[in-house]
Amino acid sequence: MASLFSLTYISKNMIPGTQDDINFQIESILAAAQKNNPALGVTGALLYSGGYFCQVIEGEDEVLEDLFETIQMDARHGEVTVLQFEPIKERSFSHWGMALAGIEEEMRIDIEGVLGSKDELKTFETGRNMVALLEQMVAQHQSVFNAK
Amino acid sequence: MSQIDANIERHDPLTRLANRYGLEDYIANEDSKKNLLPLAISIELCNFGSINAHLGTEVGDKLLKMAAKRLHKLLPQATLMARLNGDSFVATLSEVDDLDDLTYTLLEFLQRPYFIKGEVIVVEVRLGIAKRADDSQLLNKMLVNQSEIALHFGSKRHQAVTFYSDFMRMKASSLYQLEHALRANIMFAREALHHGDHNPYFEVVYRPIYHFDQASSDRLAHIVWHHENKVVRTEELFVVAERTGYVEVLLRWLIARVCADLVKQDENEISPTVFLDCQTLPKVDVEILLNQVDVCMKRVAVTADQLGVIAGCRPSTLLMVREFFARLQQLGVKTVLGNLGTEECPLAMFSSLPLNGILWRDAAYFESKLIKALNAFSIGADVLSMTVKGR
Repeated sequence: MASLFSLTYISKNMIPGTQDDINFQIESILAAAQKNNPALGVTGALLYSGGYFCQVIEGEDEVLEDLFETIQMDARHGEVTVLQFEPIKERSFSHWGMALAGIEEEMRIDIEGVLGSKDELKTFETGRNMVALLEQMVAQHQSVFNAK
Repeated sequence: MSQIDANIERHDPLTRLANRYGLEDYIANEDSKKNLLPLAISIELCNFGSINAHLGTEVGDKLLKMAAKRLHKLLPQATLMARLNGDSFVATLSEVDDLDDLTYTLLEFLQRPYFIKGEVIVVEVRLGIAKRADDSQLLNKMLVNQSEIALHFGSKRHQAVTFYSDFMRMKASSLYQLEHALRANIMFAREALHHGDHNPYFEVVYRPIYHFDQASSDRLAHIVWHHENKVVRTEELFVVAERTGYVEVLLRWLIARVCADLVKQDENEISPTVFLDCQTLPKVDVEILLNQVDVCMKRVAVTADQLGVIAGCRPSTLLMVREFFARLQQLGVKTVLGNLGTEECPLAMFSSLPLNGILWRDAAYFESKLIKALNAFSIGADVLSMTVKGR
């Protein structure tokens, strides 16, 4: 039986141009994910923060393998660092093919510190904390959207 | 093409890329049409062997498939891509706009982590590149060969990207000459080597080896080769011996010579342990070596505590070295790992080997990796050094 996995990674933005150019590409990434992910049984969330992407993807292990390959070969980002991957019992983003947690010009977390750390446990914990943070941000984003 | 040739598969079943036959057919065809390709790139997944050994062939196979797919995407201008053996590929290209950008892109994207069976796998990639000079009429076959030479040259020097130069061919030619000379010398000295006798070509040299915390020393015995009025060091000798299949012959002789030398020591002198430097072991018949140790010890009444073996390990020889060390320890012979933490012997292999010691080759290596390893695995293994601590 295929297992359900969660994978969290951060990567550096490689999209050239202005913030508007970046926003346009992020919308394109989201649109593609929201179109393709439901058929694959993939859910997740994406955050752009201060020049870095942080993404969580959830799904069956073999599906995540193929999807991660597609993500890896995307030239819009680089320096991909996997923070956490583990089997999960239930999804954190079950309603979302790909939720947008936010687009922020200022960096929210000490990504440089995480990238520079050789402590695998710290990296793993950061990944888990990131999932919780994105859950929170997606909920906030959604509540703001509903309020409008 | 003959009937036999027609039946030979020309594609690698795993990646669906061309195999070596397919590559050779293609190149021969292009050469016959005088269609000279501008660029050949050889690509190696350096730590694939280690990944395959530790995570299993299912993961290894998936990794190769993914790497091949990445290559397809990264090299749309490739006229042919081939997988040559376990972890190496070749691509021939029809055009090259920006070679610097191409090499950067290849390294960047091929080395991005792979996610397979729940494991995040990081692969180190090396490139060997042969670019055709403007007016060159070099056959495509030679161009591909040059890229392989460049890759091999770079691998020895841990270089990520190596461009072919004629100097590399000279070096390769020099290695070929050494292989030829070693075959000849071993043939001339075969009786002496078989009986463990002195001979004009090979000599056992002894040097001190220090125990890190005990402030004591033993001796390291290694073979040097007297070739054309110069001395070929052990490391280089064993590279050539591995390529020619003579490692076992030399090690059997080393065992016999050391045992014979041990018995000649002054009875009143406290005999240190002599560690036999076996370098990094390729696939050898350990039964033959173990039998030689046993026979020689009994023949000259050497006790097992007078002997030790220092050998390096690779992922492909882990099981063999593990068995070798276990059986040596059963005989009472000490076992020391000679290449811990190197590219050939990653730290993860450390805990599975029965060891009495680890050879410390340089201070920086020790401080960065060895202490961590010893602490991590809580193993009270002795540490030996090529130099006295603090010097």
